Amino acid sequence: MGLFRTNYKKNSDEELMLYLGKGDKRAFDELYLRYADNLCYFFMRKLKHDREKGEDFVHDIFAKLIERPELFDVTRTFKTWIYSVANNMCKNEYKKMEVRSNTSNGLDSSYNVSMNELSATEVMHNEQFKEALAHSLNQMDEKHKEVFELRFFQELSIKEIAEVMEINDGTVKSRLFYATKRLSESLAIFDPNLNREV
Amino acid sequence: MTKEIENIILNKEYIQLTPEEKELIHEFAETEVDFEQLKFVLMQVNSTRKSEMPKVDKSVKGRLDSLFDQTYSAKRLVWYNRLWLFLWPEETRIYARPMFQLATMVVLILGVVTFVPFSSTESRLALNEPVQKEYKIDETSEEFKEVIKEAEVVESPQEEAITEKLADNKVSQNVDMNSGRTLSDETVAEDVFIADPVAESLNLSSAGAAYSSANNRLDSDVMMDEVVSAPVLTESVALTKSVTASNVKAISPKDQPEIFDVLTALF
Repeated sequence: MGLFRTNYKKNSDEELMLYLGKGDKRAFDELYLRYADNLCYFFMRKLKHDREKGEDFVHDIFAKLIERPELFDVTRTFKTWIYSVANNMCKNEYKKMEVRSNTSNGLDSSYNVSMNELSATEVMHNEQFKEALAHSLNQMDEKHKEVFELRFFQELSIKEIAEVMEINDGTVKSRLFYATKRLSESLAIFDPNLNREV
Repeated sequence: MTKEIENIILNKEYIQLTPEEKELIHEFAETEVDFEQLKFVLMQVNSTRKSEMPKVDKSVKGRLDSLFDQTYSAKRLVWYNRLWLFLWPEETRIYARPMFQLATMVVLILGVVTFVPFSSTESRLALNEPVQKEYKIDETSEEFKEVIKEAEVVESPQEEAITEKLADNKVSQNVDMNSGRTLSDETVAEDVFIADPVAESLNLSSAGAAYSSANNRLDSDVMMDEVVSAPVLTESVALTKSVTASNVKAISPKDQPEIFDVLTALF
């Protein structure tokens, strides 16, 4: 049997989806291998680094693939389609969170209120840089933050980002430019040369 | 920021940049300080990404696997469909499909059995081959020369005399149209052959007449009796021609039955 087994590593995502629709388990395994971790990271970043929630969302999105493979839009690439679905899931979650926050005391427990209090003595540490980066991103508009994260954390191309967000390439470029400039300015304190001077 | 700009920022120092590259990154970093700052941020983002990248818990995959089994168990194929799926998997290339490979092997074996000749049939074919030999007459051989010599000897002076006599007789060619005989020939033949004691004993005077008659009949062609078929006629003509007046004596006793056959056929 091994002689005639298909090497799914060479297949495109779209072909794997086709096989998955026919009940091919190995095609599903290959898709999971390619996207599970990246999607989990995407959800974690979108959902305030909640790993458990991120894994739940990964489960949900792959469960959708299993139960309704026909939902895949064959006119699009699988990568942009799955990130669009993931992005919409996050938006829905934001809405739910808004409802929850309105019914609660209004405090978001996961929000790090101490981010504004970054001191010069902490800047050398990587963990602090991460926090500063998260803080800077949170201060940005959602549209700029989204583009930056898709570009640098999910490694999508400008064209893919445009497809996921359903905007044109030019808009993606300008948003990316703005986000990069803002981040570069806000994280200037972490510049090693500046640190040496300090 | 395109991939090209990102690569320039991450992989080059500011002093290494060409004017074109400086122009390209000008939007993002106007000065060397800006360039270094942006470079640092991007490097940190990349390292952050690598360090933060989570590994999804195996329980998630386990739950998904069980969901997959539940969803597609109803669609599971019965064993013969599985066999077909093994023999003809649609996702593989056609030459890699087991069914195709088996079919190719069957065709090859049949081809070998059908077209490759085995030893038993080979000998039979050899027996059936027609053998054709070319006979060549060697004109320089002694045997050939002897035959020619004998033929020359047969043309004796007696034959020449007979020919002259025939010419002198000036016999009118009264041809009996019904029988196709030439009366004069009969006369000549009788005159010539009766003198020969052997011919007389064999009653060849009439044979000689028959020869002449047959000769005339055949030369003028010839209303043959229907009984005489074409091959027999040809044969008899050949024989008759050989029985000339001069060489009657040379006819051996074993030839005589053939002559009688010819005569019988002619009359």
